[in-house]
Amino acid sequence: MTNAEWLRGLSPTLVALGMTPDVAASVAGELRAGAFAPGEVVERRGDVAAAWMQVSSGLLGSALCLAPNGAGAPLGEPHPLMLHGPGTWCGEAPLLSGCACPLDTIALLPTEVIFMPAPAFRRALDSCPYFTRHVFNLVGLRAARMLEILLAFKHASPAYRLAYTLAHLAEALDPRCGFSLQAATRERIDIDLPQAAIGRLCGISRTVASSLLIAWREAGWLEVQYARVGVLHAGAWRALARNWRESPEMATDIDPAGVLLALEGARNGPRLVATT
Amino acid sequence: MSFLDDRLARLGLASDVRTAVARQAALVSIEAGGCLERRGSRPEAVWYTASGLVSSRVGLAGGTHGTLVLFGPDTWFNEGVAPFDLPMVVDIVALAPTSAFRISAAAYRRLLVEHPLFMRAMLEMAAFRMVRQLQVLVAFKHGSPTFRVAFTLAHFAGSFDPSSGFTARQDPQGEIQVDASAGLFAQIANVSRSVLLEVLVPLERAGFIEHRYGRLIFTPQRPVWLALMRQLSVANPLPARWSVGQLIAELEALRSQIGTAASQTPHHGLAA
Repeated sequence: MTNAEWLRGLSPTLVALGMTPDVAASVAGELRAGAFAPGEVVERRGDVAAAWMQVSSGLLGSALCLAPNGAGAPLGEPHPLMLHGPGTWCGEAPLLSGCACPLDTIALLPTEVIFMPAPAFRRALDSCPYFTRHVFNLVGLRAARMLEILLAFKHASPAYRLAYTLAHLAEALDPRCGFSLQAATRERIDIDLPQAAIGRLCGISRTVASSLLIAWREAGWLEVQYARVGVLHAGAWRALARNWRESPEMATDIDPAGVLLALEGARNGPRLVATT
Repeated sequence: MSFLDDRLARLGLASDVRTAVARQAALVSIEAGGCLERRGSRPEAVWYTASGLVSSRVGLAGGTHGTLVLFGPDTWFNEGVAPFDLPMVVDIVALAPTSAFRISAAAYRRLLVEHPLFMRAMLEMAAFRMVRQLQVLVAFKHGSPTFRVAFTLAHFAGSFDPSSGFTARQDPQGEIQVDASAGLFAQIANVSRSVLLEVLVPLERAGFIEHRYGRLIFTPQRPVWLALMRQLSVANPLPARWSVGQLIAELEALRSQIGTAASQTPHHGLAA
C-alpha cells in the first residue's frame, strides 16, 4: 500500500470526528504525512498555521525557546509546555483564531505526523456541524486544562506542579483518553522523556524533579528509568487530577508527602467508569 | 438595534441568529463581591458584560486568593467551557457592581446545536482566548517580574477587542483605562507591589502610561503597547528576562518605528 492510499484509507477516522462521508473522503485525499527526528521543528512560533495535525506515533511538544540571557536552558533547548501523544490532534487554536502559532511544535521522539491542510480543515468546519462540535469540544477541554496548568505555574508548589503534570500526562498520553475525549483505561503510562525535560515541562529544576520522582517511586507510584518515567496506577493519578480540579481551593502548598496521601485518597475514592 | 444585538452583529451573525440568541439572554445585575461561577461546580452560563468589572480567581491555601484575569465591559466569557460537563477551574466574581447578559449553559448548548454560525463564532472566540492563555502561560512560566508586568500591560492595552477577555474601558476620546488598584494589578502580574512600582514608575516617567487613583491609562501610547504585544506574541526566542531598562529601550524603539511609519504614510483626508 502506498502512503497516499494509506492516508485515503483514514476517511473512516475523519467520519468518526464528525465529517460527512463525502467530505471525509475529499479531505482524506488531501492529508499529508511527515516523519520528524527528535528536536526537529514541525511548526514554528510566529508562523501562520498551515495545518491541523495528528500525532500518528511518537511525541510532539508545544515548546518555547528562551533568549540567551534567560536563566533557564541555553538557547535552542526547547522548554515544552504541553505534550501531544499518539492519536492526539493539535494545532487548531491558531488555525481558528487567525493568530500566529504561539509556540514551536517540536518532535521530542522520532515522530510521525498526519497533516490536514488549513483549507481542508476550514472546508470541513464550514460543511460539517458535527465536526465543528468535535473541534469545539477539543478547544473547550484544552482551554480548561491550560487554565489549570496556568494556575499551577502561577501559584503552586513544585510538588503540586510535578504531580499535576504527571496526572495530566496520564490523561493526555492515554490514546483512549485526554484529548481524544474517550474514557481512559490504561493503568500504566510511559513518558519517554529524561528527567530534565520533565522538570522543564513543569517549571522546576532537574534536581528537584529527580528528588520528587525518587520519593514517589519508593512509594510505588512511579517507575523511573533512564529517559523514561512510568506512571503506575494511572487511574489514581487521573482521579487525583480530577479531585484537585473539583476542590474549591487549590492545594497550592502541598508537599511531596501530601501528594502521596492525596494519591492514596484518590485510589480509594470513587473511580471513573469507562463509558465508550 | 439593542445593545446585545449590536454586539452580536459584530460577530457577523445574521438577524435570525441574533434574535434567537438575544431571546435566551437575560440582563442581570451583580453586586460587588457576588459570585457568577464557582470553581469545582459545573458552568452555569455563558456571559457578556455590559458594564462593571469581573475577575476570574482561585482560592488558595491559607484563605487568600489569586486573581488571573479581569473581564471589563464588552467582554464574552465562559464561551469555551459552558457547553461541557466539566468543573469550573476558577471562581468568577464581580469586583464592582456589574450588569451582564447571562445565557444559561443549557440554552447555550441548544443555540450552538441549532445555529452552526453561532457555534463557529463562539469556537473562533474560544480559540482566540486559548492562544491568549498560552501567551499568558508562557509569560508566567518563563518571564521575569519585569517581563510579566510588561506583558500584562500590553495585554490590557490590547483589549479593545471584546473577545480578548481582558478588561478595558474605551472613553469617547479613545482613551484606554483599566480600573485596577496596584494590589490587584500586582496579583494579576504575580509580582509584589514594590516590584510593580519599580516597573510602573519608570514607565510613567518615560510617558508610556499614566497611573493614578487605582487606574492605569495608556493614552496616547497605546499603539506602542499594541506593537509590543504583537512582537511578544511571535518573538522567537522570547526575551523573557528583560530588565526595566531593556523594556523601556524596546518601547522607545517601537515608538520611533511607529512615528517613522506614521510620517511616511500618506494621509487620505476627506475631499471637501
